Amino acid sequence: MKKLLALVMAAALVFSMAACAGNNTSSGSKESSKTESKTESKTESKTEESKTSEGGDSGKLVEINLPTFKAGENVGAVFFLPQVERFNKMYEGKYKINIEEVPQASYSEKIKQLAQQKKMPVLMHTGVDNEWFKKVAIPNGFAYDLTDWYNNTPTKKFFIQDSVEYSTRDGKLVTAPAAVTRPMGLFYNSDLYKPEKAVHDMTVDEFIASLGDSKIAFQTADNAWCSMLFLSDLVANEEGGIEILKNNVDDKTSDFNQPAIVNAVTKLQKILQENASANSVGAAYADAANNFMSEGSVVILNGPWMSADFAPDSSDKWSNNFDGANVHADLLPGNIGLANTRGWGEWWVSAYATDEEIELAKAWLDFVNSQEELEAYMLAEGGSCPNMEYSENFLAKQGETQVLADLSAAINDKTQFTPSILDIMPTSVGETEVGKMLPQLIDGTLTPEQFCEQLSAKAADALA
Amino acid sequence: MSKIKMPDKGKRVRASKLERRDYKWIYLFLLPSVVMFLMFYFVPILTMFFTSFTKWDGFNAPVFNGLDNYTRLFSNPAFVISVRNLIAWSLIGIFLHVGFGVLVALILYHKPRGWKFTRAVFMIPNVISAAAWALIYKFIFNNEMGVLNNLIRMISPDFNVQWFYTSPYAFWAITFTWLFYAVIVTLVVLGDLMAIPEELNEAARIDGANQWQITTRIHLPLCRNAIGTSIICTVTSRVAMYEAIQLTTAGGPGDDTMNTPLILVKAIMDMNNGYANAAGVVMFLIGVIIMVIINKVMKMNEPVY
Amino acid sequence: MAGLKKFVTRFFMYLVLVFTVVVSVFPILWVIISSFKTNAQILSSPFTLPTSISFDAYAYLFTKYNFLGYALNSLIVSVVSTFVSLLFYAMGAYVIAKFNFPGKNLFYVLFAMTLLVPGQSKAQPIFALIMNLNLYDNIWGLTLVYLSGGMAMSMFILKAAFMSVPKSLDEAAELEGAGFFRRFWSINLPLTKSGLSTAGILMFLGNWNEYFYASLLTSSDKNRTLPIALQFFNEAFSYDYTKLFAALTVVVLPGIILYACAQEQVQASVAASGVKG
Repeated sequence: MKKLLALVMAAALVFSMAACAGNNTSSGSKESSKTESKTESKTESKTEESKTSEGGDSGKLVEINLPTFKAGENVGAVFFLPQVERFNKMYEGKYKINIEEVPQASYSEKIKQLAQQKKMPVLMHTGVDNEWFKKVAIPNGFAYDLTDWYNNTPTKKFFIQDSVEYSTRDGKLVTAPAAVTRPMGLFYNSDLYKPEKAVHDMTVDEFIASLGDSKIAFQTADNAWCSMLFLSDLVANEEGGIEILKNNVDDKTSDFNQPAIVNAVTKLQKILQENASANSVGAAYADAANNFMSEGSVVILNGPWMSADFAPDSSDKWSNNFDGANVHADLLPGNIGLANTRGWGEWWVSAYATDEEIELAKAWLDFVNSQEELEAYMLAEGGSCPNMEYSENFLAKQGETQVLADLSAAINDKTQFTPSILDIMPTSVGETEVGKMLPQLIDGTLTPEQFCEQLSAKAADALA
Repeated sequence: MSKIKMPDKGKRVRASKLERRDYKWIYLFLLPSVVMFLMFYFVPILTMFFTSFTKWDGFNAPVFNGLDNYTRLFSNPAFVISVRNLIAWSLIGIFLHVGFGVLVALILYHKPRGWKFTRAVFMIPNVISAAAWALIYKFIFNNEMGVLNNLIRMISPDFNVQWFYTSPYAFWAITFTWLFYAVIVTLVVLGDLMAIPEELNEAARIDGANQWQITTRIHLPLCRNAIGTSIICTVTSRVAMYEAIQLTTAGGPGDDTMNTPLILVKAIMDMNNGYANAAGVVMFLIGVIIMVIINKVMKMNEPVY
Repeated sequence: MAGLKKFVTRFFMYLVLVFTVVVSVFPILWVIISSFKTNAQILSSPFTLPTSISFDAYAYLFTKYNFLGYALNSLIVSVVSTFVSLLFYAMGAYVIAKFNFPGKNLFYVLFAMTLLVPGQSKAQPIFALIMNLNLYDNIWGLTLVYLSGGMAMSMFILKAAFMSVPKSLDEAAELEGAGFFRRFWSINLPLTKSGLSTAGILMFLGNWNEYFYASLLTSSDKNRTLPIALQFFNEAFSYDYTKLFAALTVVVLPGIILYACAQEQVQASVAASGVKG
């Protein structure tokens, strides 16, 4: 009977809570979610203030929570968590960043919902949902204008001008621009594949011929990442292909019937049928990487951050005699590097943060864009900073990491950089549709022309 | 509260004196469910209906565009496939899935050796989240390392089928992720079977009926409600099925295994929330229609005893 | 002849039972066994047993995460929400099943249709609601949301369950002077234990495995539930089949263990209700 009583009491409690809340929603959120969240933000900033002022009394420590997916087991955590530690140590007693681990799959949704309530965290990653950022966050003034910070930061010289321009919307700098660009290329296992000349000096046909019976690790699941990178290279090698890739990043395209793309898809079909690893159909990125790191294939296309997988301390990922030391990197056939410099930087700042929090955010941005931190970042995850004179220490260390040295050596004045074809597809097409159609391209259900037609139709539907 | 005083309209609702006296209690008992509904479902349903007639990105003000979303939806080939899939899956669900569940329930009712164990073990697949289950099946149907194809290869060594990635296999691969997991059906039906008064069985036996006749003439009709409930559960689950597909085929190859929730999520990805909600409304209406039909066919509003 | 027929029936019966057991258990068993194999073994020979057993992957997971804490949160949230919502929906289903009153069909259809409201269109209003109640990053906020989860399914199941309780019993009780609440609590509820436990199990499992709102509505480590932790593993270990299977095992096992512990109790209470009308 006691149990029952407790139960009933719990029920009554929840119920009364529910009843109050019920009134709130049914009266409030039909159309007036905006006004609601306005009042909401007021009370919120009040509590925020009281929090920081409390901190102010006891030594002026400004503290923020930073939800991030670069924590726990995430690959990005290896570099990011120690970086936050370094920051906390440098500003000990003044600023403190506390990490809150968020699953990568939920980060974007969480930020969107918090933003709707105007309660987002002070510092946020960009690029998680680009379209939302462009269509909702910026027009509604969620992003703090970083122009002042940009004009005064000692790190100003490092930023890539393309990214600065791209991040400037209506005269406001909505993200801290990018300083580092990380061109994507390919990795090959020199134990099994020894090209006669550098891959970036070959044409696509020469490259495929040089492979012989060896395979390339491809995937079709999710966004078909590895396959799409190759398709981007194929398009870039077609007449007018680079222009198509470069000109459609901002507004996306629904015209995939252009000859350059159809020709590239025709070639991709043959390569997927003849040169792809056995598990390509249905493979997710992890399956492709797994295949490469178990000598099922000799080539994989990816960005320089994959170098971490080839370092000795990742050896638990290797099997079947695979040795990361044998891996070399190069740009793609036709001297193509895949990089999009017309993009956001890594961070944006909440417009609803308090002044102290903004100061902290600015200190953080100064910190991560300092020469030491940028160099540490590039050593850990690859990339180059075009506007920086590297320190000797950096160059020496970069030379030690085979694949990073390979990549920086491969870049010459004839190298062409282009965005990937995923960058010109509407979100749903890039994220799922193209991957769903690839198996049909491989088994011949779709001809390259039909493939491109359907891709265009789906893109048109998404953009409508 | 004014509702209570309202005179009964229509013949269907004919309350006895006894019931009318209980109105206070009846509505009191309904209250928690109604509050839950108002809190968690009322606003989303209204939003869904209203914004399905607008162009809306989910945040900025919606712009009325009439039936545009609906005409676009109905002319979308993926939607046509979705409806076809829904019909096929519903029929498979009603006849094979519910059929299997009822069969197991009828067997368990006779308490053969190991019936408790079977009943307990049958539950396990339902204990696991849909996401984990989808992942497991992705491996079972894997061409290279999957159990199924390796099993088949013991007999026919050259067998190679990419279950989730080739038509028409993908449709069946998806079907197999839920087809035999009918424990809910079994439990619901078993509950009704156990509630059948023993005298009925005895009376039938005395009249000379064999087991088959007892099962088909007495047991099954008396489980009418449970079976109807199972069918409704199954079919509505098919309408709302999302993870099992998204995490295996994502609706592919091509659009082979698309269904309405996938179209909806895809549209939200592109910030076409108005369009997404049109898909939601259609899904909703299909569900209502199916429910009404099954309710009528199975006579579920009439008491069994 | 009759003997043969009986034998065939028995054979068929056991065939169905064996099949049921195999399809239910085999996939999980395969995953658990595979989690002890090496990557190469998984790829080359899916049926062999592991040659050596390694708990490395598990040890690593358990030292790094506060599993017990997450499991405890999950348990509290799921148990409380299940019992409260079971009470709520049993009350609702009871009056819908047994009485005629204005709006009866409307209410039933409304409740049943909640199953068809897409999760994506609920996310925003629910998030706003929890924020307004100041229950963000609070397991009671999550509990509140979970109360709504099993509405439709339990309405289906419980309505059917109450309908199979003979009306004569209510009438008899009424004559003996039992009030409305007593008829519900002491006559109808005990006779629908089977339906109640089915609906309860379903709601419990739904809440126990719920990921979307758990990730949306909590943020700090102390309020994390099991499915969120498991999502981290899925993301982290996808590159290596051994670890992926280990992660899957960890995902799957707590639920199964819990079920194994509870099922005796649940089934016993169901069996005890064995109604003799």
